[in-house]
Amino acid sequence: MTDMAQDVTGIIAKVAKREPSDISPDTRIAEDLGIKSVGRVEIAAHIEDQLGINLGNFEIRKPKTVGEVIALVESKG
Amino acid sequence: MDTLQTLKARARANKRTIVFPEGNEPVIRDAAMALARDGLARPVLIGEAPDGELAALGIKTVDPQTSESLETYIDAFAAQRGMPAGAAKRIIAPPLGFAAAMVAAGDADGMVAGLSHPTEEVLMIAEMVIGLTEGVTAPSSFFLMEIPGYAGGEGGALVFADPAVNPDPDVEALAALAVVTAKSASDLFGWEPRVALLSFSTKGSADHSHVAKVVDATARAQAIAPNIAIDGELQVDAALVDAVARRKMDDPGKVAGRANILIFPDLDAANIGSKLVQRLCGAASHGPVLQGFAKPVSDLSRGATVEDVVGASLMVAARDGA
Repeated sequence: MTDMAQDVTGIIAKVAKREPSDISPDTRIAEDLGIKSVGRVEIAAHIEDQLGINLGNFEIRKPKTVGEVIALVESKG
Repeated sequence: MDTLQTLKARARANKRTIVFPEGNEPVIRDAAMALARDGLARPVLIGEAPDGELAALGIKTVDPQTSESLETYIDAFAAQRGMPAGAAKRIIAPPLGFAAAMVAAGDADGMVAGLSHPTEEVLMIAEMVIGLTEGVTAPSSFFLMEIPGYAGGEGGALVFADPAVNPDPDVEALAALAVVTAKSASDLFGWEPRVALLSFSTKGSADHSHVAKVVDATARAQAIAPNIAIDGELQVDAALVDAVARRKMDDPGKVAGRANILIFPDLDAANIGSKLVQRLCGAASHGPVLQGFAKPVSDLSRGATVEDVVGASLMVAARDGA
């Protein structure tokens, strides 16, 4: 896993109040972690603050899995 | 007094401070001037400094980037969500987040937004920054339907919920919808709520999982709000027509046959039902009015006119307990 993938996994784990070790790229954002749309906005805010990558409030709504969030962030990094 | 006049009278008495995050939009500026001129609210615009006409009406404008309150709002939100100030700033510094933070801090009584923000973004930011009413798990909406020639409901008007936000509420969400809509009708229109949870079954006339959801939601709503008249499951004719209610039920109680608030089992039914009444009966539908937030929030469509903005603002300005 890349450093950026680890950082994104850590951010998602924090918002979901889980351990990063409980989360894999296949983990589903809504079904497995119970993250609603407001949680996604929080994820985007943490990503911008921590990694300096700006995701729109609507861009962050699209990914279904942790792996898809990582791919989105890496595509902008 | 018709509904609009009732809302205006309540708004004038309340004198609420309403914040508009899209304060640079000409439609918002014109609506703010109309509200201030008629004494319906104290508008605050997020945007550039006011021109002479706005200032003459006492309308304030706030630029988040130069506001002394920005850091306070960011710190409060960061502490509440347990996030770094940098992440909180991303949410609070833009006009929509700043306006919501003003409401959360009590510097404004409610917010009207949506002219240049999608409804879903207004809902997300309002839920995150302003929060939800206790016991509510998701924001919802209702239409006020004014039906020409109809003598029932509340002077010919009915409230329909939820036609716009939650596609498939579960038992808890449906129960909360019934209770929060009753409170909205009471706070906004001064109604004594008579709430019917609708189904294709009346008191066990059909057996299906869809019916069971409404039965369970009715029991839950009655437990949450024992002082509000709530009944279900009822077919819509049993909810609205006294003769039908008496034919289908031994004891129609306070709601059946004379409901003024209709809680539909899902968004399909509420949306279709609202539009049928609007199109086939020539009803005026006001809304969708958002509800369930800790403080009042109104959404605007992208094509809202000055009159639409004033109407949405009245739904904030007229509410009791803002």
